[in-house]
Amino acid sequence: MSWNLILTILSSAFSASIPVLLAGMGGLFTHHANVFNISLEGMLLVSAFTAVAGTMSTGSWVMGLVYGMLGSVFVSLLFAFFVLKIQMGEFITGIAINTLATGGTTYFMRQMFNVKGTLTSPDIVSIPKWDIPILRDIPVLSDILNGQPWLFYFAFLVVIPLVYIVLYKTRFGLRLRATGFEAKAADAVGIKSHSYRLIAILICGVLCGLGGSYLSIGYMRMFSENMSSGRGWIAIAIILLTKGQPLKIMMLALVFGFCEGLGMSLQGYEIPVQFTYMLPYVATIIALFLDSRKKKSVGNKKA
Amino acid sequence: MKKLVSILALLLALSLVFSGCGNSTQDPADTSDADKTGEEPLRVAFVTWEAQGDNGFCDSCVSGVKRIAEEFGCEYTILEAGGDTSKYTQIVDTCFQWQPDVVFASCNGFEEQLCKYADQNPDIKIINIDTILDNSNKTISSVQFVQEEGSFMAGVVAALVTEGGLEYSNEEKIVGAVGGNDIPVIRSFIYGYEQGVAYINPEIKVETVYCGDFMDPVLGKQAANQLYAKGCDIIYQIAGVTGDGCLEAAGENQKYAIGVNSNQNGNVPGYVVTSMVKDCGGAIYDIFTKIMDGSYKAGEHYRYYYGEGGTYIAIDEYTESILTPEMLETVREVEEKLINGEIEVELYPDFWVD
Repeated sequence: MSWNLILTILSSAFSASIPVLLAGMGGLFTHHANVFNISLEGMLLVSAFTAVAGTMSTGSWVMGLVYGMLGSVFVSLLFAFFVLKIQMGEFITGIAINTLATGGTTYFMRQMFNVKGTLTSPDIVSIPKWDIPILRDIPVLSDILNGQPWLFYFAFLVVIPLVYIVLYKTRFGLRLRATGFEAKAADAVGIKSHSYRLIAILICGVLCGLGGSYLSIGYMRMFSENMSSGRGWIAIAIILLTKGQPLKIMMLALVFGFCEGLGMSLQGYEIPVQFTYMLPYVATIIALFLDSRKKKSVGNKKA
Repeated sequence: MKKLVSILALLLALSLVFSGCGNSTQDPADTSDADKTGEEPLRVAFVTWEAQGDNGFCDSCVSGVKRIAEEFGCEYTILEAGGDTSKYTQIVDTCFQWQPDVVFASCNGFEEQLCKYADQNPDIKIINIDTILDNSNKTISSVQFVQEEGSFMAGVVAALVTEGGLEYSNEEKIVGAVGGNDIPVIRSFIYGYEQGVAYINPEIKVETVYCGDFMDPVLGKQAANQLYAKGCDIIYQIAGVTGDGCLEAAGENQKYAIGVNSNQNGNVPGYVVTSMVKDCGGAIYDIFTKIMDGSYKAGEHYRYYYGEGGTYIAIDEYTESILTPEMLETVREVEEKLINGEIEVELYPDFWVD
């Protein structure tokens, strides 16, 4: 395996896993609020579409990003309305929203742009890529991390630390977790668990909006039918596996992205494609297994 | 009350979804108003599991049907399921209730039902496009495209690009291919491609990646990025929507790509050298002329080789702006040899079983 190829795999592991990562960061808020939110997939898809529609109609990526977030926030409001206001099952609502997102984006794509399959256009303005002066001069890191859309750096340097701080170091995060842990007890001490859940769903919408926009106007410069391709589901799986811990979500999203790329390149070594397709899933489970073993042994020592 | 509201709201949401998928499945008004006096015009139906508007296979078929209708004054109807399996029964039933004389079909799941109708109506000429379908009475004919030949030419172009020292070609003699999935039909494309590359220079290496998905352009882009990093300067994509990601990667990496199924040369201008086109409309038109002049045989497996009505590579102003005149001349020469049989392209044995 050439050096060049390894750098490419590493680079795409970072950049292509951003949507999963951001959806995971959003989903962990609902996870901690004890809202079983499976509509991450739909949120990603809708925001990927509205982001493209936004840049095409306004000619600016800023508006694309705004539209992307609005699209996803709209979906999250819909979810909140059904789940919190009229108390419908979270699972049913999630499924309905995901189906609606697939059908709806396809429908509007055909109606508004008269295309089927893929929407590409020179009018789609992508999020500008940053060439970072110091990073540029570091040999290996510059190949892997430099020249990405700024949302990429924003996700790693702002979103993840912020999510971590909000969740574990603020009163809001503590109360949110308390709400998820035992809503009635939280209510009894005066925490309005209802509004905490609503806020969690909205935060989820905003972060999924960033993830979806990154998908269609950051990493790619197009929209295609069902573009999220299960990334929302992978995010849900990762959240559940890690019990909603932000740093572990980041780690697993990267492992998944790296193995996806690695799987492709292993095809060059006569390994059957069925195994290379499996690799990211197997690797994610193994990573988790190793992690849980480590914790167990620490626990044993304590005992 | 709350429950009622929630149920109503859910129904409303679902109805939106279905209106999203729903296309004009049956639209009798779509038939052209041919003169009904005197001799009855022939009635031509096209049934497809897909939907129109894909800029590819389905649209190409429809254009062929429309051309027939215009030139021969036929009535026609188009029945599309839009990929929705629950509509398959309905569209095939509707098709035969319309009492067609000729049916062109693109099946992906309603083969059995079509065979049933074919057995009951031996007089209706049924032609299945792109796959082989035999009913017990042998009245269905099949049209197949020898994609190995079109892909052979794609391989020739790829080899010329990697050899030729164009603006964005590199030193390494490696060309790439991205397949949607590791299945016989995709392998048959690559089989032809490899032969085309070897025809120009047997030392050029062909690197292939299968994405495992036809609908995920992100994977396509990752695959293409990897191949470019391995030293490929041109990639042939056979991956549907996934392949659109490959074309985008070509533009970003400033390398070359080859499109597939329809003419994609203009998708990323200056980087998509050519496209391997499957001309279904041409084949449908050709079959219909056979029906009109009486040379059509029921139960026959028609194979369409290189050229209009079969598979061919699209050479237009985009191609001419990338390739040098000498390269274009070589391409034309090879094309000619392929058409007059001087070059024989081997067919992929696992795909062409009969």
